[in-house]
Amino acid sequence: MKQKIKNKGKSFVEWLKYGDKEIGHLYKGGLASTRREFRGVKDTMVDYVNWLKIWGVMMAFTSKAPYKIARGFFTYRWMPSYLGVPAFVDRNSMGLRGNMLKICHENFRRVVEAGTVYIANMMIADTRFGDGDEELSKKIVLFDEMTMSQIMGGFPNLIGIPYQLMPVFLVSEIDQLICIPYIDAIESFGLPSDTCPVPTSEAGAAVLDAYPLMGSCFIASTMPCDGSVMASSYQERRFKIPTYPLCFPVRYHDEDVLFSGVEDIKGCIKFIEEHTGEKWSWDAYFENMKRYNEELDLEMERWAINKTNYPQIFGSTSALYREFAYQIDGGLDPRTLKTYKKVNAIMEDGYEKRLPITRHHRYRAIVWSCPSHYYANFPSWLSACWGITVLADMEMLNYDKPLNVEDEDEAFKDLARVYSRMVMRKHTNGGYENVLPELWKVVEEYNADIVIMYQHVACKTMVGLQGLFDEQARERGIHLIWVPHDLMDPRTVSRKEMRQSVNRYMEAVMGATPVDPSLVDFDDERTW
Amino acid sequence: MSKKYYGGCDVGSTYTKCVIIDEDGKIAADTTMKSKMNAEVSARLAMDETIAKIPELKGPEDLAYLIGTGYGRNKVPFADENISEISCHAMGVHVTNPNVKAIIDIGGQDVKGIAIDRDGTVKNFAMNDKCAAGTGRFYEAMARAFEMSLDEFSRLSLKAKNVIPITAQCTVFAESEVITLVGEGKKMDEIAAGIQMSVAKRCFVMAKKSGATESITLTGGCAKNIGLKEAIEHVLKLKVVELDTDPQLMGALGAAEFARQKASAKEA
Repeated sequence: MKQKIKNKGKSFVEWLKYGDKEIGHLYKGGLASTRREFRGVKDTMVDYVNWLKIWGVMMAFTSKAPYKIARGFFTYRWMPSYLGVPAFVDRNSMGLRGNMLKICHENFRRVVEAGTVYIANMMIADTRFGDGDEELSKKIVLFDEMTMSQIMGGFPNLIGIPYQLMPVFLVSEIDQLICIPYIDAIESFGLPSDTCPVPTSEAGAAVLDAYPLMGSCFIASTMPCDGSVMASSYQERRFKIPTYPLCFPVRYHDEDVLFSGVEDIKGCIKFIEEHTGEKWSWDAYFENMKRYNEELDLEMERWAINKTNYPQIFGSTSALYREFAYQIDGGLDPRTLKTYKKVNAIMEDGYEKRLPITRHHRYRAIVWSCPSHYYANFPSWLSACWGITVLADMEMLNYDKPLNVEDEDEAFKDLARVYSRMVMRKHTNGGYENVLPELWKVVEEYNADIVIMYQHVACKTMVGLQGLFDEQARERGIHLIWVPHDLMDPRTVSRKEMRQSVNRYMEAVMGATPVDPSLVDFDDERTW
Repeated sequence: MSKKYYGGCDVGSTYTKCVIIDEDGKIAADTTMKSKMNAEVSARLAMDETIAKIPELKGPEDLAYLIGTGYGRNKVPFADENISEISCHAMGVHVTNPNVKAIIDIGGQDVKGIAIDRDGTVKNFAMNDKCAAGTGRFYEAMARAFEMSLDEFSRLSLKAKNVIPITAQCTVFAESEVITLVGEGKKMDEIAAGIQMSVAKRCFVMAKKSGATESITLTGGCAKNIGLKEAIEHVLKLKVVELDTDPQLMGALGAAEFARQKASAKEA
């Protein structure tokens, strides 16, 4: 009896210290989780304070233009989905404790903060209702969301907005169901249903008139595939503003084609000058890119720490922030650097103390190929359920050289280099060596046991290499787990089916037992 | 009870199989029966029937350890634990013939290629569970189109002198393609050979993806399809290893073997 009481007391103290052991039941059923995860007294406090801060950021956003933002909620179907931001952060911090929990909140809060600024500017400038701020609208240069923002560093008086980011791209990571109407709309116009859901959704959003109307001009880009050509043509017809297509050479490693990229950059700058009346400023550009370079140094430090036996950051927390800083922010906002510094200080502290990244860390993993938007927190689940720690993601491993900030000619060349290696382009363009041998190099550098191989069912670019991936992984004795998904359409492959691919491999091949059995199988088809 | 027995219950989408083995790993009793709509009912009926074949046993609780497997493995109420059918098929084949290195498992609703390690664990696997193409359901549809039993259909292709290729992968489209060919007066055995070849090619993909290259056997209900076995041998360009035990029982046998190992480990 005494022993029983002692054991109960001990497990209660453990619960107070470390929190819930099984959390699967929190994530099934309705839109949000049934309740917030209890992470032990200390970490629950950290989590709760940060949860309040996220709401604070969202409240501050609504106060920027209360009427126009409220109107946006009733006009644009994607706007209410942003109420799911706190739930999104919850999913990405699933099972986290200690330093990693703090890092997760810091990174995501910065991304949310930047997102709210974009939405606020979009709502204020929106000319749809006849009361849009025309002065602001003229200052806005719209970008394809795959396009880097660095060019805007030379136009300090203009505002660059990745146009599809908020209505389609980012919101699809927050609300898994949001792109379904877009996809259905464009397919009803005759688009084949096996087209990649990114350009499909973007074109569908144009058909459904989901974009606020604004901007002086639009910069389109060559995304990794031909689907973007279709999306750009639909969008140009809807946007009705001058468009400049950035078309970088595919074989970007070849320095002989660099001049073509440089000409494209120069052409783009000239185009922006012509349509906005603003002049390119080298001083402003260099100042912004110094900050970008500083961020890059800190990113390199993160990669270096993660290659050691004591990694300190993982999953979407790491990948999404890198993609945001590299592509969306591009060194333009000092707050991004501030967050980098804060997070790296936490990481350094953890590394010096040799802290394990999570209590349940078992396997070191790399994720490769294009990740699913509707399951952006898949790495959090991998960690919480099976102890698989995703140390690097293909999409975050982009251009890792600093940009020239002294010489104008060299700076143009560096801009062309970084733009050629934009997210989703660096590995899928320029020859198979950028995606296949590159993977084995990364696996070796990070000393990974497992590769989570995303199998985007609508991506024709990667399909041709599947057999080679299998064969070469076998030769190297690497565990390659294929996880099929359809990027933005959860109807094709559900989150549950994605998990099932990993569950089967872990049980049958690895002979593993889950860290949290309640997360192996649960129903989340209706959740955000 | 002097002897100890261990059970494996494989609740498949079409058939439910139960195997009980003794302490030496020898099969003491087995049952194969059509699955009911309710997986739990299927498991109970099949296990009751198997237990009835061993007079010393009164019910599942008399088994030293019992493992559930198959798509309905979570619905085996009397199981001590459950293990994926991929692992169980590998173990079942391994205890039947340790020289076999790979399996093509063609079940009622999926096709799997499984590469086996030296100790009977799974080295790698690949599976198609997204559509009915090349599964038992596919054969049921084809036999229906031919107005034959599955057994008759499986032997039909053996007589064919030519193979009429079936281009559709999807069960529904393949069925209409077959009906069209029959309507055109094409030879039934040659159409059947085309069907067997199309399934064999699908199996080849699974086997290749899982890394299975040598010493392959077939498991699952479709392993009894002689025409398919011949087509697979033709496509893979090797002789399929025949098992001494019913290939449909491999999942349940593997589960029973796991039960035996786990019980021994616990006792130790």
